[in-house]
Amino acid sequence: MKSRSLFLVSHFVVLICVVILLLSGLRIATLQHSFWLHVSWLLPQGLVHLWHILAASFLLLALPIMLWCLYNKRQENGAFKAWNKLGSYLLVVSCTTGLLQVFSEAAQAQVKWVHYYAALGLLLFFLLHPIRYYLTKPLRVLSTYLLSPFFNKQNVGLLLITIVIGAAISAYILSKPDKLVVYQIENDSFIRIDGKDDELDWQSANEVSIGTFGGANFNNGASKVSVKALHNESEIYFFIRWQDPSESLLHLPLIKTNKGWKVKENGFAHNNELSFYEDKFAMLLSKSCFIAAAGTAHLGANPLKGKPANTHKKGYHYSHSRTADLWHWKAVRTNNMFIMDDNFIGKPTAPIAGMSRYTAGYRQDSSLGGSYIMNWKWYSPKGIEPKRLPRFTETSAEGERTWFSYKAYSPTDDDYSVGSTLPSVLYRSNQLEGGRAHVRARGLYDSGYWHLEVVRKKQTQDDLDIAVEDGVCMWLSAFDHAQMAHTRHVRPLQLRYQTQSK
Amino acid sequence: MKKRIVLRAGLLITMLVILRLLSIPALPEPPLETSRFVKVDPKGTEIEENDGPWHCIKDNEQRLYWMVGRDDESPFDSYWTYSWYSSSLHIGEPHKGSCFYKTPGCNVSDIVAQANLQKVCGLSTWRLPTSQELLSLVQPPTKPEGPYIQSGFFPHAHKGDYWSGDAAEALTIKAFTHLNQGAVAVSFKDGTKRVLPYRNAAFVRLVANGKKT
Repeated sequence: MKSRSLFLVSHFVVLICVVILLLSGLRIATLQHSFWLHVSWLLPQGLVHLWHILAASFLLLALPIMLWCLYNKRQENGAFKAWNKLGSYLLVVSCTTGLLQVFSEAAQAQVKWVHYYAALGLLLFFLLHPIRYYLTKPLRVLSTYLLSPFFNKQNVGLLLITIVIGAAISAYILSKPDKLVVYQIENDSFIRIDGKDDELDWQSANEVSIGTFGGANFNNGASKVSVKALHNESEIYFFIRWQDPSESLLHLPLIKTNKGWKVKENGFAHNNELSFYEDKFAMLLSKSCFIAAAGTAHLGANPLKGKPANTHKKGYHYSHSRTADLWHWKAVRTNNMFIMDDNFIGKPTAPIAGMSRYTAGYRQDSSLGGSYIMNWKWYSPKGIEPKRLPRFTETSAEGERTWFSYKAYSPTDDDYSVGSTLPSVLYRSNQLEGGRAHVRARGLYDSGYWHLEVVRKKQTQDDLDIAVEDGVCMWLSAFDHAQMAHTRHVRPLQLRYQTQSK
Repeated sequence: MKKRIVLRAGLLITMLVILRLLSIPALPEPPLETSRFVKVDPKGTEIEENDGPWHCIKDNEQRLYWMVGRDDESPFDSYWTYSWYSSSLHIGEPHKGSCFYKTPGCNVSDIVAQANLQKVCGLSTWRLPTSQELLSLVQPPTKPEGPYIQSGFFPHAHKGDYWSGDAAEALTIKAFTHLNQGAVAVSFKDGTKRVLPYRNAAFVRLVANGKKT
């Protein structure tokens, strides 16, 4: 009887967890596998990573108990036993690869691949598993597996114990950021922001590597990122190195067609360019170490009820509680300004009528002028008219150009032949200034790796920035010529300041 | 047996339909804002809220049309500045603004003349707005530290002074009192109005009444 109760309770928990895990997991999979957007209506939206971790925690507790009951106490014929064993193997593989994604940074792409296909197998098993019961005695099956766990006090007690221990497992998983030790350097130590870590101080810095995954275009969507950091009394420095098979400086080039100029693109019309885009790198910093980028990653086409849906159907970044800093390095648009675009993620804004793109909580810091512009008067996938044309013959569409190397567009000057290409990024005559220019940075590409050197004041006195203090958590994402399909990692890096230099 | 299978299949389909219905938002999305503004394209045609390009805004509240500052180095580029001068009344300072299409400098009459000559958005009744009309555009910034205006409909707006047509006002700012009179400008840096000397270089946002020609 005890074994029967234990089985029913554990089976009930496993059942609920698997449903939540499959639905939330398939939503997470939409980031890489657009096929699942066809069933987007069935999948949950919002902070699904949290639901995934919570359900996984309860599954980790209930699964061993259920398997123990199944294989030691229950009698079934060979075919059914083999079938159930298959389901059990899929569950175990899914759990193991899920745990590896949280606790091990090694071979993330391969682990993720196995996790995904094990989940698909589990989905098939889950759909077929109850059929034999359902076709014979459905009401009895529903009663036995969904209601009976609540029929007696013993079962309810077991469920409560499951909830308490599962919650403890969740809390443990959610409170385990990796540490990045940040050594102190002298205030007068000079570090040139040039993309090279050739200063002596960098040689003694602690380096941490993380496997990021889930991006577009990288090898298997993965990029290994190494990061080290130093600080003095007022500033923090980062040196970041990440794998990228190609240096991509072709950013939405303009091409002349027989119907006029067009933006060369593959997805830009839906804010999800995947081919003709610059390489980028993003650093998200927050006082919160909560999973899913400090709880800002809300997946789905419309995770915010009453707000506009996103055209790419992948999700929005926003925070309900506090601001997260988002520094965005762009290989063409900001690199030759020696800055990262200082942005932030805050509370979701009200939609602004007349604006074509809604970005929820992702916004730019204030700007006092400068910056870059895109060389078109109004973007349409059907065609554009450039704002400016080159003063001299263009030999490449890569990189950016300066304002004064171009002149105002005139139809009489537009004698470009069909097939001609132009770069689309123009730097204004003055650099980006104000809150957006708080982070200085320089990236260099060499032999399959980008190298990025970054510095920012720990405290900028800007309400839209966070103070980069001991204990702040950080997430790193690389973009390989993709607009928004960036790599990611599960657990954050937590900055731990050492007040003595090494 | 067949009946039982049909019943169960029906039950299963019903459950799937209920699941599908639950996933549909119960209420339609609310409209973004009241439709005070309507975009008007270069030919003078009203277009959808998220479409473009647009050169003018129809203001249903004020019952007039606003010209939208551009970023195209045309005479209507938002970066050009103008001193205040009336070519009909001959008051003000004629050459203290900065625009590319006139030397030695520009004044507000120049852009009014250009707008009516070129019939921007099919209109030829362009003029400087009154200060009250300009103040009606003031609203909290829609982006951090941005100008006090609805930047979805009015992109390229600056955090600076915009001239109104209200002139011959006494200058009250102490440093300018010796100049006696000036015109009223509305600052989209803070949403306030003040009298500035005619010689000041400020931005312009024209309005037009009436029907398109």
